[in-house]
Amino acid sequence: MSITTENNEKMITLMSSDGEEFVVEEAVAAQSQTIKHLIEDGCSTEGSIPLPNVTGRVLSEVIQYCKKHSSSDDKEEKELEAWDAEFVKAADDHVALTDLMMAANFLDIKGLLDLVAQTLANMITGKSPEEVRRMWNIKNDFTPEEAEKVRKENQWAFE
Amino acid sequence: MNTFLRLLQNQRKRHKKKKHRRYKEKACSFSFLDDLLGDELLEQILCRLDFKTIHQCKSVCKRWLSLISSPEFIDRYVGFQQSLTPISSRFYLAFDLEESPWTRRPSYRIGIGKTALDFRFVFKPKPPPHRSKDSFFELVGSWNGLLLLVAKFQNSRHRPRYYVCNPITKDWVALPPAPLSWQYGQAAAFIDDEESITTTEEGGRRGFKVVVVGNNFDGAHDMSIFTSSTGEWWRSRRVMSCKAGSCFYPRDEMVCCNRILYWDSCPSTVIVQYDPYKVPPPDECSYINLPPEYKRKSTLSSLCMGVNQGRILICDHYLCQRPLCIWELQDCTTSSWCLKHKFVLDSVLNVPHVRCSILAFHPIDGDIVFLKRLRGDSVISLNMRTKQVSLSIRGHGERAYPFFLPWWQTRLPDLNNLKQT
Repeated sequence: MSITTENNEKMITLMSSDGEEFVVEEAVAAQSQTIKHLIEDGCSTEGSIPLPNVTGRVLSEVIQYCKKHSSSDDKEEKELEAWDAEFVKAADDHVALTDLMMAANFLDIKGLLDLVAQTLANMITGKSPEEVRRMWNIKNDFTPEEAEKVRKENQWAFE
Repeated sequence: MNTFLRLLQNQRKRHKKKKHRRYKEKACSFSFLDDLLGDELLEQILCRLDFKTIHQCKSVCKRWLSLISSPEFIDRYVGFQQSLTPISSRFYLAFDLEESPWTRRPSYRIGIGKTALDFRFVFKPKPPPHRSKDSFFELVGSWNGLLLLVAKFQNSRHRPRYYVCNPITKDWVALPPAPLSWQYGQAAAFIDDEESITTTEEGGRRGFKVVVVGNNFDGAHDMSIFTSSTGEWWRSRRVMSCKAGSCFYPRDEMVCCNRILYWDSCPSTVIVQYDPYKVPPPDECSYINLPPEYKRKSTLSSLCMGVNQGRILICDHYLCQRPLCIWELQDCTTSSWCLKHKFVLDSVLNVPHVRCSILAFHPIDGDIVFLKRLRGDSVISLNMRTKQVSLSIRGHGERAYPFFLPWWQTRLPDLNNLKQT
């Protein structure tokens, strides 16, 4: 269902995977290319738009991001950068960030995707392979010989 | 909407498991990155890692190793990094660091970014096979993140040997002995191999050539070209010099500009031009007259040549009580030159009777020239427009070479394996 507010802003409803509904301005939701295309295809008139890959918690964060980025213009670039930094800080850890990244990818919000990818990359930088493995809980599937070989080939990068 | 229905169905299935999964997440954290992040998203993160970290990350697990090693990823990484930083920020100058080149373990410094010394590196190859006490090394070229060194010997029975070194990985490879008859008066160039130039930027798949010109004292150039893809030298019958006089002293410097090689032919009044890519390699060189106003100070004073934005620049190599004059080649068929700069260094450096050698030109910024003060052995970056000296650091050697930090590490050719196949 689409409702219209006082200032004639078209509102649409987004439904998260766990059934939570969010009513947002169309301009905010259209930051997501996925939603934008759905609106253009007339999907929003049938009712709420289901977003089966995104939980309510993540979706509320995404909407927070989209709201900020649709209301700011280019003049406030510095302020927006600071806001972005706070935003990813608030996302807490790499688990939450990974969820956010998958949501940004599914919803096709380039700015958010770049932001989160960069944050995750910054987290990897300066960590040893062991630390990266621990952080992301990745299993070391090299045999000792293979590990030695890879390590030797890239020894220069560790110095 | 069909996709959505399918996704919804999947979601419902997941909902059922959700309670259980939530519990599992806390009890034993699951490997979410491997499970959930597809290659596409993982690549997006890895593309943003710096040069060293990305190679460290190969040790994380097999999936990361195969992803980071794939040509598709390397292309993507290079493309992404190129979009972040301009090529000018990857520029450094490579020059000798050691006070004396008479050493078995040569050190090189790659320094002087555009504004400051942002990267310093001491190059120490493992002792090369030539360990004779009378050998010495010189830096003679730079290409695609690699450096070309030559080992020369006091004892003239030994031929000079060329080494290609990767200053980042500290690996080196010795080229087979160059089929040259003369040891001194030799110039070398380090250039792209034409056959592989069209393939992608990835260093491992790009080949190089080393061109060496020796002096035969009978008016002919003795030319040899090494190609990394074959691992062999090709030797010219004789590249004749009919015009330039009887005697050539090619210095250890050749420049490559728009796929043509140029070198000085001191003491004559021409520079030599040669196309190393022509098939079959031509036996003849062509010549460009030096600017009529240019006079060599003595029969032994050579030129400093360099390339800026695809144009050849020349000036005196040594400067002493002469203004610094820099000419740019406008047209090689008519030998027309344009005087770009002319000024006295004494006032700029605030030193009377300054003695300098010109090391190199900046390949991108035409206003910048790199000098070495002979007293104190300091390398200086001078902006000729603003007359500002932006940097002064210790350095040695008579030549310096523009070095662009590669986006991806350049692999050295495996010459031993080439010979076997």
